[in-house]
Amino acid sequence: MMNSFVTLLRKDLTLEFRIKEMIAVYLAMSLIFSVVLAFGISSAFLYQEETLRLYPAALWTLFFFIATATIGRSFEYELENNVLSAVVLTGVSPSLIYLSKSLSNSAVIGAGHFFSAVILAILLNVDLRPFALNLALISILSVTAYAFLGTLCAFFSSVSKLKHLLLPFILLPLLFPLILASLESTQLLISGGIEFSFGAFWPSLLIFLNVVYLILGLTLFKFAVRE
Amino acid sequence: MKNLLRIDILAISLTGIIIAYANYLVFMVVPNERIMGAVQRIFYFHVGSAIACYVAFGIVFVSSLAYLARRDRVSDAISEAAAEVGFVFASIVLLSGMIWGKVAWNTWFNWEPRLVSFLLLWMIFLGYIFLRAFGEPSRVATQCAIIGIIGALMVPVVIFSVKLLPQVFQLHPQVVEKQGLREPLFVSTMFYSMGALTLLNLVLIWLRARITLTDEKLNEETW
Amino acid sequence: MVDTFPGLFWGYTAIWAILVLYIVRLAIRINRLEKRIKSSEDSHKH
Repeated sequence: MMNSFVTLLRKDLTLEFRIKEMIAVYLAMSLIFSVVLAFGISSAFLYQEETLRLYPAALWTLFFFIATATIGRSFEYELENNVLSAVVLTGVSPSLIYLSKSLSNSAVIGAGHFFSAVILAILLNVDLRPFALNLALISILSVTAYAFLGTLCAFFSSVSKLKHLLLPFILLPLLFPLILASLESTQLLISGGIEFSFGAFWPSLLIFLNVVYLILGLTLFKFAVRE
Repeated sequence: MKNLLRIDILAISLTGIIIAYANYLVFMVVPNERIMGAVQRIFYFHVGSAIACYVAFGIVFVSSLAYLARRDRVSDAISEAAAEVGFVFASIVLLSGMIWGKVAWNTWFNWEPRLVSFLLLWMIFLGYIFLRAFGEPSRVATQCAIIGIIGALMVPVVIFSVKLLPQVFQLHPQVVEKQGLREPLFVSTMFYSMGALTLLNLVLIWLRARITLTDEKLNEETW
Repeated sequence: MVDTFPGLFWGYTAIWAILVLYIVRLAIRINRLEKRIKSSEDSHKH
């Protein structure tokens, strides 16, 4: 089972980083939308502290928008020529297919998110160095939770009539607890004067959602793929 | 068949009677609330619709699980019906809440827990309906069952986490929790309204599910 | 002092009555359709 999982993960990561479709789109959209957001925020002529307080909102709005736009394509190659059905017929558990796809999506989206965090910080003149480690941990948790649910919903939208247009409607409402948790955790970290810890409510909710979305994905993906 | 029609008429009549009585209590019996005045009466429809919406979510959850286990048309039809009817009741909660907010506190929408969590629940229902409308027909039942399960499981998480959002001030009246409903008449009217709207919810889900099943049978017949 | 709103009461009563009658009409139509489908299924069997 471990061998199958490693093989699948290698296949998914190789596919993503060789074709570079998702990552290229993510990076380009990050750049463009960061600039648009930065224009909007700087036109309000806010003080430095206020811009810092707006940073989590800008960062996570960008993330959820761009990640949803790019994750929709994650099953594109598997669904062409019935490759996914062929993989399932080899006897590999659909849960392993789901897990490897989620982790490869996390890697791609995580890389893109890191890039957009840095670009946005530069454009908004925000110094992230005091928060770097904790922000990285919050981002990892948010990205993986997103990928666990997003991968499942991306499969549904890939086989629908509307394709990727359907994905935001089914995914984003289910992600609201994650949106709140990511935003509030980052706000808690950045607002300063408060002892940030992963035992606080919002970061704990992030960890909880990772577990919940992963369990739901592992359990329910096999029903979706066996149709 | 005659028995089913009798059951339908009985259920609808019972619902109609309780709605009529609740309506009478709300407009002809219950006194004005001391602080908010007459506009407080919207509360009876607002809370009743919220309860009906939660019941609909519960039905979506159970019937989605049943569909994944049994793959039968009836579970899928009930799930679809419950989502549609629940969406309508969620819309009523949002609209009545906004009207109440505007009249009582001069604000259409305030970012406070109850309104925000209902907005999010409304959007979860909307996502389900979109998937039902635009999903791949051969797979849509399974996909909707999965989204229904995840959506219903997210309901308590949404409600709980939204409650803990930092708030500037609490606008939503803490009527029941903070011993606002002292007058027994208020309490009994609230329970009658909740009962009336929940029964209406169940009747509508029941009929809507049968419409789907009848429609499918008719399509099979024509082919 | 009890505050009553007879205008609203009768207005809402009319709306609820229309809704309930519409639901009754729906129920009768569904039952009729189901009956027709069942009799058509039975005639196919024979």
